[in-house]
Amino acid sequence: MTDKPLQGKLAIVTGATRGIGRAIAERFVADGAAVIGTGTKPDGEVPEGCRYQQLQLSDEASVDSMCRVVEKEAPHIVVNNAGISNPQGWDKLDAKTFKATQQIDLIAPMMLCKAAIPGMRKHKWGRFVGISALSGTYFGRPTRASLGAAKAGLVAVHMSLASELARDGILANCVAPGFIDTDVLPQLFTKEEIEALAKRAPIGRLGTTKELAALVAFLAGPDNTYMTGQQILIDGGFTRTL
Amino acid sequence: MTKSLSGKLAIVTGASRGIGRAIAEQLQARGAEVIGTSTKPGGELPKGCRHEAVRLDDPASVAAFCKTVEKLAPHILINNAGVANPQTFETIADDEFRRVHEINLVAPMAICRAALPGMKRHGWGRIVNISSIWGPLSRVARSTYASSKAALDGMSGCLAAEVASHGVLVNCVAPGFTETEMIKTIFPPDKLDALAKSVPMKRLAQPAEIAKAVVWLASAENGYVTGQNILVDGGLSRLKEV
Repeated sequence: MTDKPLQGKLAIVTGATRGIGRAIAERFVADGAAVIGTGTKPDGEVPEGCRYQQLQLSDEASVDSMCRVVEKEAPHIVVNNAGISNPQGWDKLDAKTFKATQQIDLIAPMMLCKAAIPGMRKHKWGRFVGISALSGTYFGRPTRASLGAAKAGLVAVHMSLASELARDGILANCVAPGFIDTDVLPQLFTKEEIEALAKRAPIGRLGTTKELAALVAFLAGPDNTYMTGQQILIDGGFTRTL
Repeated sequence: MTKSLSGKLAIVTGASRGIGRAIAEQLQARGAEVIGTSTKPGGELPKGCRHEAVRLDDPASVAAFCKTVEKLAPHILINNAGVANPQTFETIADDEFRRVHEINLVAPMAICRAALPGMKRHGWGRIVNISSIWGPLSRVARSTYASSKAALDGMSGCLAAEVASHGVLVNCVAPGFTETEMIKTIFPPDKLDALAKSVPMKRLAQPAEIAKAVVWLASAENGYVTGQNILVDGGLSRLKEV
């Protein structure tokens, strides 16, 4: 590993104003990449050294215009991080929310990937990393039908990308985070529940956004030359352990 | 090259050639002190590596080596050495099945056990066991090898659960088809070409590419990935063109 392994690379990170996406953007900047970070607000705040781009994944027109940006900028790295979980039990689950979740977590990321392919082909180098989820691909979980379906789809999209583009030097993988210490957790769980969650993993603590960003940086960087079509769990041993 | 592993002691089994040699070289390049094993006394290791001779098929040799491991208290342990001896199921000889399991499973177990007290004392440890795609994938004549490697992964997952709270992370790396001496003893050159074409990336892995993933998992960059079997296989396990 050189000090600036991503020197000369352009990366796009969706949802870079906070949490996991912000940590990934910070790490990419530290590794020498130029970074375009997206957020939903007109004037969102991204880490120092990043360019900000407004993107509403729920809005088809906004996604279309972001795709034009992606085509023009021709990033080497695309990290589809932004998403929404929209938890609903089956008695409440409705098609409108389900579709809205697929739009944000699956359809918009698919379009951003598609827009990046011509540039990556030109560079003869590209890395896609999708931030997936444990729910949907590794276990079913109450209230996560919309999220699970969308994230399982995101994994499928990355596997398909990987299969078509491997020979062109373009690798695609997903990262499935366990319980990571972000500002999303307190919105979904009480303080006591978060402490209990941390203890559910054999490692006995939450993961940090920095730890997650380090894995994404490996998969997106020059040290990864032969891993593709995989989903890597970063969960402190949670999923595999009863 | 950052010296992120300065002050760390690493043990790599089977470090005289192939994947193990590449791992030893990369650990050294990152500043770790490396002890490599091979079967022969005075075996040829990368420059700067200390050598220990151990025969993994000989319980007395393994027991003596384990004493050394306990005393050295390495921070990093890579169980890389292994043997493959393809035989169709009906031709499996019990003794050969036992010999392969002795080398690929029983010896790594004993070496892991010997390394744990030191890692717990350090409050930091990284174990990477080299598994195989023959586990997630199957192929004729691989039952002896596949069962030993699948068991190694099963063992590693349980060990991960037991020691995660001590700061010790345990993972496997499953290499795809890699250009090593081992693979050349199994496939004649024309078969190797066909094998390379069967990989979505249309080529074999170089040992250094597998080593990059191993070294990432063994480094401080990895803080929250444990109990995983990471496939570095050019897309072989998850992608098919049909």
